[in-house]
Amino acid sequence: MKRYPLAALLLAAAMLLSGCREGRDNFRDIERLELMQTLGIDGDGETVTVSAATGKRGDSTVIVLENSARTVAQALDRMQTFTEKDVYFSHVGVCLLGQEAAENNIYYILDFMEREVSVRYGTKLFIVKNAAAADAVTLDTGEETCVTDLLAALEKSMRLLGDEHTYTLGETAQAMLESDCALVAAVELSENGVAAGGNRLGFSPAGYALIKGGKLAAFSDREQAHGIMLLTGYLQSGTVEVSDGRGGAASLQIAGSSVSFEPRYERGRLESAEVKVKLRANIDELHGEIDVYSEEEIEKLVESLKEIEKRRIEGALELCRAEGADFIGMGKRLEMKNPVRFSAVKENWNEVFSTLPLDLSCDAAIERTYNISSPLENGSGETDGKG
Amino acid sequence: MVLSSAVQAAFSDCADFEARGIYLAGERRHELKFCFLDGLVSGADIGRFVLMQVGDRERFGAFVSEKAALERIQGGLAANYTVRSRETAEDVINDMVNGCCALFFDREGKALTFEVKSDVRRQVSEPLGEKVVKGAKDAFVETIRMNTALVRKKIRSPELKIEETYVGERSGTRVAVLYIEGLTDPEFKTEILRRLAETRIDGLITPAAFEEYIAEGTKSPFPLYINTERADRLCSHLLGGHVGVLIDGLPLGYILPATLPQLMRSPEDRAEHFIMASAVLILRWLSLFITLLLPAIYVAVAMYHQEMLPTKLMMAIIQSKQSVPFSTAAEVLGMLAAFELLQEAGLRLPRPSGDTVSIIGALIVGQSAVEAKVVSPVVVIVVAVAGVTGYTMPSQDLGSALRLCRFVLAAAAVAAGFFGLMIAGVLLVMHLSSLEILGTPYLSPLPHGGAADALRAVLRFPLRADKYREAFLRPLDRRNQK
Repeated sequence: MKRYPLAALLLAAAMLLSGCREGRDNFRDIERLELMQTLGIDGDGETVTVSAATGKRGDSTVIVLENSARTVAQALDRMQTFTEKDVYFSHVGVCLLGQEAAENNIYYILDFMEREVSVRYGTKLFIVKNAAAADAVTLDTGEETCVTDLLAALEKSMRLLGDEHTYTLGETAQAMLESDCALVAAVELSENGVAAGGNRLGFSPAGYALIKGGKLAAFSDREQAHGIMLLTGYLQSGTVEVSDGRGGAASLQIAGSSVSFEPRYERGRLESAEVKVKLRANIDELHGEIDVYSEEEIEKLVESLKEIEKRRIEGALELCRAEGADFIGMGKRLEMKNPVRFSAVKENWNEVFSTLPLDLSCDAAIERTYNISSPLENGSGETDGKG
Repeated sequence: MVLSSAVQAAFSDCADFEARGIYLAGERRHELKFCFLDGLVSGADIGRFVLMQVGDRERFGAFVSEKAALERIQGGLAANYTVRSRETAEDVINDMVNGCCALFFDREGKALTFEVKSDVRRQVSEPLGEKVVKGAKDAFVETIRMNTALVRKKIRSPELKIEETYVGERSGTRVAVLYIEGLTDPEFKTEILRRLAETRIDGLITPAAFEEYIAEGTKSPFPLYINTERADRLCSHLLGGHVGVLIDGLPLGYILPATLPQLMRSPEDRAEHFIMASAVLILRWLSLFITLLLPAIYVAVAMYHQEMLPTKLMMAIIQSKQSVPFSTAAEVLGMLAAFELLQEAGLRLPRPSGDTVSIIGALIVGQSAVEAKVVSPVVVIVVAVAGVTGYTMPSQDLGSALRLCRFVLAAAAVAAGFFGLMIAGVLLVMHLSSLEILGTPYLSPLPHGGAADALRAVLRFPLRADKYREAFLRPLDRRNQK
């Protein structure tokens, strides 16, 4: 029976070793927490301004706290002086960076986020185009909703519409570590944005922010953002409007896409690479006299789709190559295909990527035309056996 | 001292002791002492099978002597179904307290005892503590012989052995040890009989007396035995290689040795389709972990590890606790204690009052406490879920042990969050791993069995595929079917 006291003693002694009691006390009662869900960081190189907002549930009031200091950590710590509750950042789901802060340096922000145990790697990261993050965090959203919910809705709609993929803090930090460049989803405050109304502004997608060397290098436009989504393999939904060349038009629903990069080595030297993009789409809506039983007409729609998507991809590649960095992660994929051969260009891959001849091919297929042979006004539909 | 006087002296001041004289073969000069304990014997049987025949001159014909008469009665002159010759007062007294009447032949220094038990006893009925949906409904009663008969009716084989002994210096309680010869490891019954013989207590009246003296119940709050009211459950365990113990005066059968996986099994598991039974068994194991850990996990998460909760759930909890004046620790431990009190009150009161107390306690007081913001609804849900899942345990003793451990684990979580919970959990596993009953590890077959044995612990295999008895019971014949 001596083993139980001994085991209890050893385990209790382990508490002294774990460091659990060092620094901040781990105990905090749940009802005393001020649950911050959105964090905004602005900076001009000298001072950092951090703004944080709680979420909204039922009739609760959204609490917004703002503070400036030399560092992010100081600013967050000083926020505690504004409330009797414990300001708690472990449930921050969205982090916004102001454009100015991103243009100056985001390394120190990422460094803080990675070191701070209360911040999650899964926190979604946005850059606010043409505005400060504090403007976004303190945005007047009316009584029904809050910034946290608006950004969650925006993130979902951007994914479904194929506008942008939202990267997390962990993904961004990893990309920066691997290739010193990263993509971050950008949003802007506009009169047409989500939840805008009256005099209120709302959030709109603003393409991707391209980060290189720890600083904001450029923004993509929405067409390029679509192309980047295709090249990074994140485009799994969205709508593309195509024309049949005779005045008719169709709305195609993207059902999936894939991308592959095939390197071409000659005498061990990387000479060029082939970029193969494949798209699957379904007919969503028809305008005009388009016969979905006609292979020719379907082919016309497919060609139109390929043309549009190819143009977007070319735009995206052009932007990335102009910025001189492999934002789309092509190098990583080529390395996985042949690590030994790739090692020759790995060190200066960003430069190689900018000038490497690329052979782009885009393939597309319309898989479902559904059972309506032509627009509804032409009569009742017949089953084509595919729907 | 003559035999009859010794017995009479032993029962002096006993109001139920009756003694009278009887003329042997109607001969006035051969008056014999006759005595019995009123209430234990059937008056009609005494009259019909003993008195009428012993006193009937015609039955004896030419009367010779008391000695010859004694031999003739023993040889069948009295039509009673048992007759035993006794020479010591202790034997006579023992027979009398077990429902016999005694006829003393003092000149010969002997007595004859006739078993004429009273029929006044509880009839076999449905088990009250173990609900039966599909299966035999005959439950044990307080009379040991009826209980052994119930078992014998289900295992009609001379290999079913019933060894009896008496425990209790003053109660003289009859205890029967049941096993199947050629199947059960003989060490089990030898060890139990040894423990019974070494038990020197006043009386074996309550279940705890057996559980603590014989079944090593003081080693742990976890039961090391299975107790059952159901004869079919005892029989199926006997066929599995266990030993059964029946105690006179207790409407229970004890099954030894018991292991945790066996305590998790209900007799109903073998009354249902194996897929259904397996699903229920898995749910029951899940319930065990929920009832044990849920309050502790809630405390640890709400007090130390709030980052583990999904944000929306966290907001809901915070909102529900905003106006509650107590800390999470006080709320959970207080509610757990209140739950135990309610249950205790419901159990101890007569059934209609008990039900009322449960309804008032659970519904009215619980709802009022939430509405008055004395406790948060989340804590009520956590404690209620932990309580309800605890009721799925087939063994009430196991359920009680889990309730006790639930408190300890919750207190450990209050002290140090998941770290404390982990310490308490490790100690609990150590404790369970160290338990043994009759040389059988308590967690068998989990610690040393293979994957198949471990699966058997959490699933109910189709009976055709379940061809072997549990190896850890060391049965002499492992196959249970050809």
